[in-house]
Amino acid sequence: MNNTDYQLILDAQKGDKQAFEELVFKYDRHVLSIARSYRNSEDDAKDIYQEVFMRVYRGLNSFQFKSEFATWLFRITTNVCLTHKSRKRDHESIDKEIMSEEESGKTLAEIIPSDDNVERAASNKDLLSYIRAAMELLPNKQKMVFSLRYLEEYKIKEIAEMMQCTEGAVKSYLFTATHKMRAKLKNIVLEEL
Amino acid sequence: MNIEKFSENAYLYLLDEMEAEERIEFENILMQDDVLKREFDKIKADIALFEGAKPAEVTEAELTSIRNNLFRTIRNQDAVLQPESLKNKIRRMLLNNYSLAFGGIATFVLGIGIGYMFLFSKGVTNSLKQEAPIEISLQKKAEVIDESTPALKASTASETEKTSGTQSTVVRGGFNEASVKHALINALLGKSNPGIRIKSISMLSDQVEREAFKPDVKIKNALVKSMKEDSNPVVRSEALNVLKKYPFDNEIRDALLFVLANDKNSGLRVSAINALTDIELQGIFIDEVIKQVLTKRVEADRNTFVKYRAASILKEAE
Repeated sequence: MNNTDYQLILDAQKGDKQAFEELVFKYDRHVLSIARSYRNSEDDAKDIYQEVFMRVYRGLNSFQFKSEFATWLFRITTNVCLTHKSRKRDHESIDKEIMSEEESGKTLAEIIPSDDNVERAASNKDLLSYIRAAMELLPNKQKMVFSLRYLEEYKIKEIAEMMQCTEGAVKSYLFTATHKMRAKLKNIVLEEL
Repeated sequence: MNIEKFSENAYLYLLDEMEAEERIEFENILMQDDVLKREFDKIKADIALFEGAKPAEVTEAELTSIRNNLFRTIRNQDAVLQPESLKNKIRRMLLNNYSLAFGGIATFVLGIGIGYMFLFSKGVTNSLKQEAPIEISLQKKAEVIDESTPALKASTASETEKTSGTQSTVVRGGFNEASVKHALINALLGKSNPGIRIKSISMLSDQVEREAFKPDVKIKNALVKSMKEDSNPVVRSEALNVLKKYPFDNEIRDALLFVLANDKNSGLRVSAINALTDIELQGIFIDEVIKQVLTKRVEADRNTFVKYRAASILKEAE
C-alpha cells in the first residue's frame, strides 16, 4: 500500500472527512465503472456507488491494512453489486432473475422486445444492447466475472481477490459464462461477423 | 487436446492469462492443426465482440454530481448521528417512556418545592423561573481578574467563587438572558484559552439545535468574527459548524467566502466550500460572487484537494 493511501486511511479513521473525501476522489471512478458494467442501468449504478461508499465510510475503522485498500474497496463493490436489488425490480425482472438462477434456457431472440425479431436484430447490429441483454440472463456471479474480465479488463487473479474465491473458481465462472454468451449470441450476432 | 480444453486455453492465451512457457506450448499445438486454428479465430472474434460491449467512459461531470450527493448524504447522516448528551438522553427517556409517572412525581415535588421556597427562601424562586438553565464557568488566574464583565457581577443570577489561586466566574441563567449571552460572547472573543472558546461555541451549538432557539445577531456576529479571525483553527472550524445551522444570509455567505479565500487551513477552506454547497438545500442557488471566489480557488489554491472540490461545485452549479 502506498504511503499516501496509508496516511489518508489513518486520517479518515480518526474522523478526518477531507481524508475520506480524497480517498473517494481517488477510487470512485473505478467503482462507478464496475457498477455500470455489471448493471445496465444508470440509476442502479449510482445506487451501488452510494451504497459502496456509505459502507466504506461506516466500516473504515474496521479496515486493518491486511490487504490493499483498493482490493478491500472493490471487494465491497462486488458484494454490493451481487446483492443489490434493482430499482426497476418488477415482476418481470424477478421472473428473469429466478430463471437466470435456474440456468434459463432462453435464447436471445426471446429476450429482445416483442416487436423485434431475429432478422431485425441481426440487421440492427446494435451489438452492445444484445450483449447486455444476453448478460442479463447469466447467473449473478457468472455475470460479475464476465463483466469484470471483458468489460473492465481485470486479471483473473484480481477478480479472485475481489470476489474472495479461488482463481480456479473464477476461471470456471468465466468459461461457463463465455460459453453461454456464445450460445445466446450465436444465431444473431456471431454469424453476422 | 479436445476442443473444449483447447477453447479454454485459447481464451486464457488471448486474455493474456498464460505463463510464457504455456504460451509457447499452446502456439505449437495451434500451428499443427487447421481445425483448431479456425476455432481460435472464432474465439478471437468473440473476445473482440465482448470487449466491444464496454459501457461509455465515466465522465467527470457524472462523477461530480454523484460525489456531491454522497458527501451531502454523509454530512446529513453525521448530523443526525451526533452523540446525544447525557442530559438529553435522560430527558428523552423520562418524557417518552415515563411521562405520566414523571409528570405526577414532578408535580408533587414541584408543589413541595414551591411551598418550601415561599416559606423559607424568597430568593430561590427566581431560579425556578429560569427555563433550561445553563452554566458558564470561566476560569482565570487570580491576578487577571475579569473586570470586563460588570454586568455579570451586578446580575442577581451570577456569583463569583474564589478558590485557591484561581478565580472562577459562574453565570447561571436562561440562554436568552442578556448576561448569559454577554458572557458567552466574552468567552468566545475575549479568552486566551482556546478550550474555553471551544466550550462556549459548544454551548451555543446546543442552543441552536433547540426548537425554541431564536437567532441572535450579536451571537451570530461573534461567531462570524471567531470563524474569520480566531488564531486557533479548531475554534474557527467549530464556529463555522455552528454558523451552518443559522438561516443563511449574505453576512454568513460573505464570511464563508472570506474563509474560503483567506484561511490558511485547507480543511477549513474545504468546510467553507461544503457549507456553500449546502445552501442549495435551503433553496438558494450559488450566485456569481460565490462562483468567482470558487474559480479563484480552482486557479490559485495551494491545496490540490481544495482545487478539486471547488471545481466540482462549480461544475455542479453549471
